[in-house]
Amino acid sequence: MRLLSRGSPFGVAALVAGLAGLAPFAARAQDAAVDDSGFSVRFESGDADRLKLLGHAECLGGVLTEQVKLAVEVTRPENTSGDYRAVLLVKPDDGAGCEAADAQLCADEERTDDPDRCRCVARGAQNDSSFEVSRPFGSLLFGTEWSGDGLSGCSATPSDRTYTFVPAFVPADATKSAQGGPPGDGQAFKQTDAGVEDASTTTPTADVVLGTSTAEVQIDEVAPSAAGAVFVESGDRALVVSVADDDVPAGHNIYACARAYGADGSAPTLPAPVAGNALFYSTTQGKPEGVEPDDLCARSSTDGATARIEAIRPGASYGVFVFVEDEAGNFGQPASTSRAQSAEYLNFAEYYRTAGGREKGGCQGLPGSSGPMGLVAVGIAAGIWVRRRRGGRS
Amino acid sequence: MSASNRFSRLGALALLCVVMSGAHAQAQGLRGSPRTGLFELRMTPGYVPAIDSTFSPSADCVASRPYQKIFGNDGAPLFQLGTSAHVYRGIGALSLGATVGYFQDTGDMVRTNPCVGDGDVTEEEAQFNEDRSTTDNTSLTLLPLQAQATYRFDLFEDTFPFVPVVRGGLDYFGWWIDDQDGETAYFDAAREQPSSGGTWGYHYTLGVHFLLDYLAEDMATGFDLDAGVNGSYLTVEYTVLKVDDFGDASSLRLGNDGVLNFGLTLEL
Repeated sequence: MRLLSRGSPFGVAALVAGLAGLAPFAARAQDAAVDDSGFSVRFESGDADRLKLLGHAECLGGVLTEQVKLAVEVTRPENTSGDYRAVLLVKPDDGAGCEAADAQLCADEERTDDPDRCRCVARGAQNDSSFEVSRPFGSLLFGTEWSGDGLSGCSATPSDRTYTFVPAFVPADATKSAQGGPPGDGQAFKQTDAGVEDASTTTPTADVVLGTSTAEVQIDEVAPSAAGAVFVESGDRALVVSVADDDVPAGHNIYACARAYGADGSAPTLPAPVAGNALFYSTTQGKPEGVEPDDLCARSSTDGATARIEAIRPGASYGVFVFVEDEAGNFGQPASTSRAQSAEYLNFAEYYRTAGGREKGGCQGLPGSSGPMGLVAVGIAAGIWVRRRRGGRS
Repeated sequence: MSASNRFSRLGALALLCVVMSGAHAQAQGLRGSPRTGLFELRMTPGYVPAIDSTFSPSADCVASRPYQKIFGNDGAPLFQLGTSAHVYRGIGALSLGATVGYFQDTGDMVRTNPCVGDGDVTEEEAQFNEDRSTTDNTSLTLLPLQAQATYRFDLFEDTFPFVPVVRGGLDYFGWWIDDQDGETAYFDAAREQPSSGGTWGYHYTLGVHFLLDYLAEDMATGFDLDAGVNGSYLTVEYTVLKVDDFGDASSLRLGNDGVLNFGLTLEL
């Protein structure tokens, strides 16, 4: 399962927020030193086109691995006084794992000492209207946040664990629970907690002005279509696996694996399609479900329909199976072919030597010269001679 | 033929020569900027390095011809760009200069059994049999450097547009062999001998240059006035290259016993 950021560029995010009536967010008076009534605070997020949530078998017990850029923009009304700083609060969870999570998000100086709150505070410069932070928010925001009950697309159901959704992200749709429950495909979430505080404040305070983020992410549970026919060609100790270009839409790639035949010549059992076009995830990060440790696998480039599996034993037989992987990292149903073989091929250098050639490479030198420098020296000498000769004439 | 007729014919011929030489002398006068050297572009179609000549010939086993086995007989174009400066002008022109070139031939990688023929297949069948990889290529790239002297007998080019040419010089061919990943391959399994290096040699050339100015004198005059190009020539040359570290049997033989090349030469 993967999370897709929708409208992640700042401008788009702001537009979305504006249309939704979520920003700007009116601030509340909270500190005598700063007359912050009328401050407006707005979040924006960007530069994270793809938010990957890995570990589907744990039912969303995964990690956002890509950095999310969050920006806080503060608009100060006229005729207000006092110095202020923009503040972004991130509240990972309220207990277990807080320190580990903090370590990933916060620099030491930003970490709070509140053992119950486990909070990071990022501050902008004094009286600057905006600032940005860019960090891997992964495990903080989605570390262990979902209940495993009833989630669609999961191949395993955690039964004795209760996951709490991180308050830094809450469902955009208030009617959906932020405490467990199925996320549903396409559900959006929003970042909260930003504000302004007195510039003289040296410790984080909870009663800062809160705003609402325009960051919006979606969970994508749609499996890409399986590849049709699988084509395998033999390379030098490699198998070159390809599928039809039409099977690999823009942004997709293929993940191909080879599984060796048994010592007795028996064909291996390959991953087979399952009913319902379910996703093929694995708890092993980045690999499809059904891939075994001894399988030899390779991924094509993005938009590529060909993957080259290396380290194949020449002459040995392999079964080959292929997954299409979409841009969110979802693996579709496998397609396979029963038997493929590789060979050992020779490049020209190897073949030349096999045929009896004795060249060993390296730059040969003329007596008193070193490789091509001898020729260069000849050229320079000739040039000098020509110039002198012409100079003598003139 | 009467004496009067003979004299009249000789007179007409003499008049024609005077007119022709006068016209070309005029043209020569208009394109009369100083002649200092040559700029040359040459191409040898289907250049095949003589690598296989170091192996014992065997009709039945193409292992004895590794270049032919991998790359076939068609070769690849060799491009060369050169410049030279006149060091003598009198009875013709003697120039000293240098060229740099580029050649790359690419072929399919082949299986380990070199002797696929066993006497039962033709060379063509052996070259392109099922043992060739459909996915993996290998290539040989040459970067020929030459220092050479060129003599062009252009004394009569104003009346006769063909200029005999003789060249000779010292060669250094940089070379490397790439594997299927486009990286430098190795000669040995231990990967201690990268397949790249340089090989010394020499060359000599006979050729003829055709003065294009004869076909378009006005254009040639303008070319000289605008760009200082005294003459433009189409060239055909026959070159013998001996590039094997002066007879070292263990070196790649990158030369060729005789190739025709074509090109364009500008006299500046």
